[in-house]
Amino acid sequence: MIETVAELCRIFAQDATEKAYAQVAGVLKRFFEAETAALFYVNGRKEFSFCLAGTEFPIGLPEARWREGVGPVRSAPEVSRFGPWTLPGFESPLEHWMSSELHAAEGHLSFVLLGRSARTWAAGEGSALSSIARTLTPIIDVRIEREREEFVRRQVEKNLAESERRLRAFFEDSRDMIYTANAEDVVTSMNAAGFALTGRSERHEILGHPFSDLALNPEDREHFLGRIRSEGFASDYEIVLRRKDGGTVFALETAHALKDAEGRIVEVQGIIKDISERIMSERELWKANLELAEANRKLQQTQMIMIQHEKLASIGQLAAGIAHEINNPVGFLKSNNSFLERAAGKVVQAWGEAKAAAGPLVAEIEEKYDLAYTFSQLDSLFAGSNDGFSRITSIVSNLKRFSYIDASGQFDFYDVNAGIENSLVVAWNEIKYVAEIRKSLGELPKIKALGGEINQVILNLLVNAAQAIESQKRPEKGLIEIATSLRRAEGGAGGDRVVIEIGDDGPGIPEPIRLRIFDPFFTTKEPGKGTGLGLSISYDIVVSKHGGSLTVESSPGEGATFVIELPVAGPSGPRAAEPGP
Amino acid sequence: MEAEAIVAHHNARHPETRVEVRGVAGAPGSAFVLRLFGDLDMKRSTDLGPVLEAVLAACPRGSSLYLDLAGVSYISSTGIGLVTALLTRGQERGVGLTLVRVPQKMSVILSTLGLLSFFRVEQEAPQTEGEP
Repeated sequence: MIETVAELCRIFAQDATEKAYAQVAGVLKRFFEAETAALFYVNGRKEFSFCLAGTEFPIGLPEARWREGVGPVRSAPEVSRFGPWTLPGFESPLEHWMSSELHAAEGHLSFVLLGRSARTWAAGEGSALSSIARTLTPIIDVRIEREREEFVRRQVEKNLAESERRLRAFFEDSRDMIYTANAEDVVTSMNAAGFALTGRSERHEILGHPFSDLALNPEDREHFLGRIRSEGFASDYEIVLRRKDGGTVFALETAHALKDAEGRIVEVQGIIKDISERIMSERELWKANLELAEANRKLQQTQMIMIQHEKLASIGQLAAGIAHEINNPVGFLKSNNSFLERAAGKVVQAWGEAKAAAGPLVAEIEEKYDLAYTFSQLDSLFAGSNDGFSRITSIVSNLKRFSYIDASGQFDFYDVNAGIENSLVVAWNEIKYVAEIRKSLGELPKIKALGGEINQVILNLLVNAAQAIESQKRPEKGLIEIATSLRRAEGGAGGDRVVIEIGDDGPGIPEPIRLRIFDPFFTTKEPGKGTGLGLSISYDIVVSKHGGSLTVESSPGEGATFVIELPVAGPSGPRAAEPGP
Repeated sequence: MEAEAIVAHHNARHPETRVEVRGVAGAPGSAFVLRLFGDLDMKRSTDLGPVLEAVLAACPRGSSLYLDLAGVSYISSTGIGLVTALLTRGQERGVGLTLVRVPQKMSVILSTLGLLSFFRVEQEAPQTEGEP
């Protein structure tokens, strides 16, 4: 028996596969002189099998069939005998069977079965089987345990491989960029979507480079890393990526940091989603809103400017109408005054002659009514009246010229200096109590212009200057200086231009608001004192309608000077200056 | 001013994105500087919306509002939307908006989106009242 046991051990030692069970069955069959021998077992893969003496490979059975097959076999340490019985898959039963359990670890059952028809199993044979079973049990235990471990290891490897495959598929097939970067933010891996998103195809173009190389604003990436360092993650962080072809990608990134035991970042893992389409939609909405608001603003502005133009035109027409109405009564007043002046002269002369002829009575009347003094004042009174009539006539004339100069709406020859004089007359009431006027009007050619509108500009600047000085509430009068000059075109470039400078010694314009003073509705005046449209309209008249320029020079506390430049030839084109009138 | 209370309330709740409003020196009541600080990400920009609306509502028609962005460390698309909304609402209310001290990275994004040309942009912020 010792040789048999040694042979069985050798078989198990030499063959780690399940084929060893078939060989073992063959040895047992021979040793016990059985007609058949079989090993039923559950292997490490939990497969229910049996090996038959004389065969080479194990036979697998469904669990129920296997259990049915070993039904008569007791799961007990002692040898059991039974029969008649038929092995699963065999037709003819054998009369005498003997079996012993080989291994009964949890979930694993192994039995050896020996069957024959010729004679029953003797007690000694039972003892021998029991002895062999005790020898084989630890060996089979180890084999099955090793097989189970191997099976588990393979299963784990398979699962790991599957997990790796799934993760790899997730990584590679994701439509979002997935990447990893080391602690220095150098990219260590990136999926295909990442390469596509950044417009790069070669690994060396991204891997090994700082991620910030891909960002349109590297500062934003640093800001993002700062958030990860402090919070361990960053979610829904918008970043703009720069494509290789120069394009940009608006993206949303969520990332977290892997840290070592000391809390140091060892890797950043991030997912970046392309949101360019969404951003472009939003951009269209923003642009549409901005354009709509801009259009509304321009519409409002145009409406207000038109209203203001209408107001100014109406005021001009009203002034011209009043001037016309004044003109007639002034005419006959002046005529009557001339007649009265001549008549008074005759009366004085007649009185002198009467006094010489009639003697003391006339002299007594003259003294009683103080006629000598009355007659002595007549000349100066009539001179004063004549002067007054001349001034009324001049004012009326200026008013009419101020308003009706371009009633046709056509560009016509316009005398800038005369326009200034006319505008001063209209603005005089605003100016006379707050400022002196100092003029330095150069010799100018007539220019092609809408004279009435240029007069409005000059009037507006004069009134603004007066109001600026008045706002200081200073005890003495301020000064408004008006100068005109001709600036010849240099080297024939462009045309000659007339320059009008209107300056005041008021508070000046602070630098922060200097750029805005020509904006519609911008005003620094008290509510009700200004519409904020005067300079805007002036700018429109000078720049848009006449092709000129309107600028301001100012130092706070030292007043402001507005400079108008108008092309002599009008907006249509340059021409050399013609001699002045 | 109601806007002052809203700004103070916001600053107390969100010191990381505080807001400052100051008058421009020499232009009392007609020009203001609005300074923003911190990240204009999605959440914070959403929180800021009503605050900026209140500031704008307090600006008189015809006044100037200078939006000082030097203190903004990050801007998201929601932040861009916030700034564009400020311009839109400003135009509706007759308040001129000027962006000042715009960080380069923000200029780049506004430019990339084709929005920069809608804004008046200046390099320097005007001097404000009570500051040297």
